[in-house]
Amino acid sequence: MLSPTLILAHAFGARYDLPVPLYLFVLGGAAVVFASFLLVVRREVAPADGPTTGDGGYVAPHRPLLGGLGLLLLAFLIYSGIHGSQEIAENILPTMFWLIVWIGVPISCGVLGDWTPWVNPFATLARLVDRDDLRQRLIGGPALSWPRWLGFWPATLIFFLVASGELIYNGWATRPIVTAVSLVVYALISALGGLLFGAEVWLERGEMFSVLWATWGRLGYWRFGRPGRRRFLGGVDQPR
Amino acid sequence: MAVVTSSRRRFGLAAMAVAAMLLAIFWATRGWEAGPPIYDGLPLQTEPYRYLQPAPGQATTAPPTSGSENVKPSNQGLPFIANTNESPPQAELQADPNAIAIPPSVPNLTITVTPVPPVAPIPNGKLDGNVYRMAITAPGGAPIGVRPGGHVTVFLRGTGASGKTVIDRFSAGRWSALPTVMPGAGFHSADSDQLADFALVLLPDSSGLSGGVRAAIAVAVVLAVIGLLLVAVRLLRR
Repeated sequence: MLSPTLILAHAFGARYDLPVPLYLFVLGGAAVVFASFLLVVRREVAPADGPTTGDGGYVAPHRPLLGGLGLLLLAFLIYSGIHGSQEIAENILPTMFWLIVWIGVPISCGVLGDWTPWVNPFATLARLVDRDDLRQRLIGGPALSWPRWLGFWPATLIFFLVASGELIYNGWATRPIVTAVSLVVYALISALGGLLFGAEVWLERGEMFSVLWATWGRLGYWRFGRPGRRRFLGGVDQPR
Repeated sequence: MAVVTSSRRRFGLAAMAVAAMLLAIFWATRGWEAGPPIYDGLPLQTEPYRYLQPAPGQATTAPPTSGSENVKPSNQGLPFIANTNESPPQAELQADPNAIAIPPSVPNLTITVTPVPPVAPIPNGKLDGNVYRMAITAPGGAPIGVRPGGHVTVFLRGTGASGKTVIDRFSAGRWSALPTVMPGAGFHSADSDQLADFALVLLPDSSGLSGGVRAAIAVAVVLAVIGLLLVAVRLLRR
């Protein structure tokens, strides 16, 4: 900010006239920001009115058909990104990833609940390599334990990198081939995580999309097998 | 273990219902005026690039547009902005009023962005799109320049060709490259201390590698790192 020679605007492109007066837009935006802070205000809560469970059932059972479909879709998108038009508007990958997967899926989880574990291709890859015989051959022993200090930091770091790609480096990151190669690299990382730590731990703590969508899913109506009540925000009061 | 009280929950549901109702009313009454939706900064409504001088075999498009804005010198403290009218614009000029050397007697200014043929061959690469002449003039057409130490910001949209690009400026009888950044997908931007002709230039690929080969190399590097990591884990376990 010492030398603001250029504003790196997030949404530079065509300018559109707002269909509402500017003051309404500004007031609405301010109200949304204000309301978002109300979510973290400490509230009076009452004891649970029934038995509660922990959050142990995080990793959904593997469903090969749905998992295979997710993998096929991922392969198709990567192929499109590498071999298709490099015009963002003409290639399906930027739309599918940066709009549908990155923005649309989290919002849908926030409304419906986390419906994604069975079709998430990165989760499927982690499960596919989560085999003791493979581990024995490659790393000479059982799965590594997840260090306590690691917490959710791998997922957090990957989220930060992807968000930076969307918000700061989008001129580069949204190019189809860059998005495609990034997906390949992340698929390899997810497979490595599943191999080293086992799918359950990796998907619960390290695989960014699983953690992100599960977190959003706590707001949604259905639990999809997870603990909590079937209602909006029904997963918020469940511990990790 | 605790749960949110039911009265709070009812309040939350009521707030969501009111918000949904307001949204529905808005879309039913004014939403049709919203025009192309804005998808979080990705230019998904990009129309094909309009060339001033299409190369043989290039798809026929409407001719490129010019942009023109008439502004007061103070402009209420807001930046001067003029852009062409494609969707999204192919060229845009932004300037801080304080960066422009405006004579005190000038009542208003005209900012123009106009596609022009290149006045000279571009030496450092291939022209990616059109050359745009960016100017600020007083009534009567007298040119107005940039104040010493000031600058304007030029935005140019690329044609979608892959490769490294840079914005060139034609001044003092020659083209020279300006430090260029990409503020958004497909858009390129540079600061300039002069108003002049500007062109987006596709630099020669010094590596000679195609995008697919580069992708393969990147994946191979990651695979190698993963392989080394597995070996390291195995060795540490011994």
